[in-house]
Amino acid sequence: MLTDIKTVVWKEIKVQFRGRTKKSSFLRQLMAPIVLAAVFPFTWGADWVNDFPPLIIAFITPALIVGVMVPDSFAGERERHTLDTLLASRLPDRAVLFGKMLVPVFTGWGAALGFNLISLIVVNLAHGSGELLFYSPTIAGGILFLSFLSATLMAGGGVLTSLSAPSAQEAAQKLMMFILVPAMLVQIVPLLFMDQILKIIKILDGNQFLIIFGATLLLIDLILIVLAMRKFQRSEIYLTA
Amino acid sequence: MKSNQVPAIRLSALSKQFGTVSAVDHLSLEVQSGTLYGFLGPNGAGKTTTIRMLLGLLTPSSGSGQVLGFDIQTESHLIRAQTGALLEHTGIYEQMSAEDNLEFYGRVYHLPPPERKKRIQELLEDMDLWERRKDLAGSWSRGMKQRLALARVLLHKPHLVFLDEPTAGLDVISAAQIRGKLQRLVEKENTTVFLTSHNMAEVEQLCSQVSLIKDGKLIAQGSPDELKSIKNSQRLLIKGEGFSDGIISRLSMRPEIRVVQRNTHNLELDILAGNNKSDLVSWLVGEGVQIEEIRQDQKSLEEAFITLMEEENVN
Repeated sequence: MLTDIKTVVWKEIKVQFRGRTKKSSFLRQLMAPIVLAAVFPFTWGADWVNDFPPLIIAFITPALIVGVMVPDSFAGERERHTLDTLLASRLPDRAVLFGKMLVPVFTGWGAALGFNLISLIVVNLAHGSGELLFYSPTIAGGILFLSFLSATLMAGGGVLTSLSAPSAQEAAQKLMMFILVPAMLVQIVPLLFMDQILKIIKILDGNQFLIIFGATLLLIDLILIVLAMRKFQRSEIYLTA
Repeated sequence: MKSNQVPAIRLSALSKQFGTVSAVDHLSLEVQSGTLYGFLGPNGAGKTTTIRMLLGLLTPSSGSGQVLGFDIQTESHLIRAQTGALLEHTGIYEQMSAEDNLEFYGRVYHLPPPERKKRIQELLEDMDLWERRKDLAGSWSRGMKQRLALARVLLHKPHLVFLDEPTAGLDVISAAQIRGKLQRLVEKENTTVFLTSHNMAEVEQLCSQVSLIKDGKLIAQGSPDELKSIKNSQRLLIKGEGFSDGIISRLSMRPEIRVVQRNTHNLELDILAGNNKSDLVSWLVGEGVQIEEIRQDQKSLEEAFITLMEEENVN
């Protein structure tokens, strides 16, 4: 199984990053986050390493990167007429599914860690005052895990939408709905339950809040992965798009 | 493959319903190992749906089937491991080089690296693609992509290959190259080939056994020669003068005549087999026809196919 997953990963890397156009387009997409990763800590000051903004970067960056890559996973192959042949091969269902999820997840995760490293370098150069500044254990742990969970969240949602979409464009549109609907709900829910939320926030410290948030994300990720595994069945894939 | 004794494919009343539409309807057939089998039918007849069921990519609504002795519903993973498929599209990754396309599928079928390298070179050379192995496959002509796809299908030396219209849209030379390679494959490696095609001349040339389906139902099967004579008719070409309207009309009414077609100096007759042709010729001479040449011709597979389809439409 691991060999098969590695094979799919090998192919996905070739397809996603091979060619000058693809490489330069991917690098162009990374330019804005790289600039922000440098500008924010520069203006924020030395407290950057102890405050919550690195966690926001850790959460949003992988979601953006995975969101660009993952709609292509199944819908793109279907559009380019390579999916039939892939599914007619001996590759097990799960090797195809996980191989396709791993490349965007690790790209998004790696990028988030890279951006936070850039931020750390900038904050040290601009505000170091001779001593080495490093993220507090809570922030460092948060960056490491939140970015991974965020990348997996987007990959799970993206694969689910991509499995049933006839084209990568339609998969991207569906994924946008997958992001926007919960985002809107997140804005409405606090208005309805403001008192209860404030009470909870007062009780929890930063670490506890982070753990609860991370655990919730982990649970959603697991649900999405299980759903994707159940939905990824060769006979169903033909009929859904 | 479970055993050399089992047929490559055995289907029993295999059916597939899409809602109210019956794409494949109680299809039963048997394909012997080491044969080049033609699976024919008009567009939408159910050929591709059948292949997909055989590969476990679609679940049958009813009936059963075995491929290489493995059940198509419970052992489809074993079928996919021992077969190769060139479906409607080439399935080539156009963003990857030809060599990488084969490298990927070599890894998929767990070919060890040295064997994989050797086999890729062997196939690319055989398909006349070795010199351009580093090119992106997307920059290639349709014929080259099709040959690359065929190389991919054969990479792991499968016992059975499914080819869905492998020469469709190819120029004459590319199509002939593919046909040559298929013939060699069956002769040298004893691989079973399950081929769908709209090119009847191609099927007649390549296939030792053929089946015809329409609306998902099997309407005929046998060797191309058997299919050509299945309607029990022969063709007679008569060159001469004096084919008047009256003669044509009276000729059409004779019991042994199925079809009469008149050209400028030719008469083309489709007659029921087993009838005495000399009686017919004597009758024509007696009617005043001046005969210069008589040629007996067998129906082509295409004509047999059209006749069978027309009769099926009437039924």
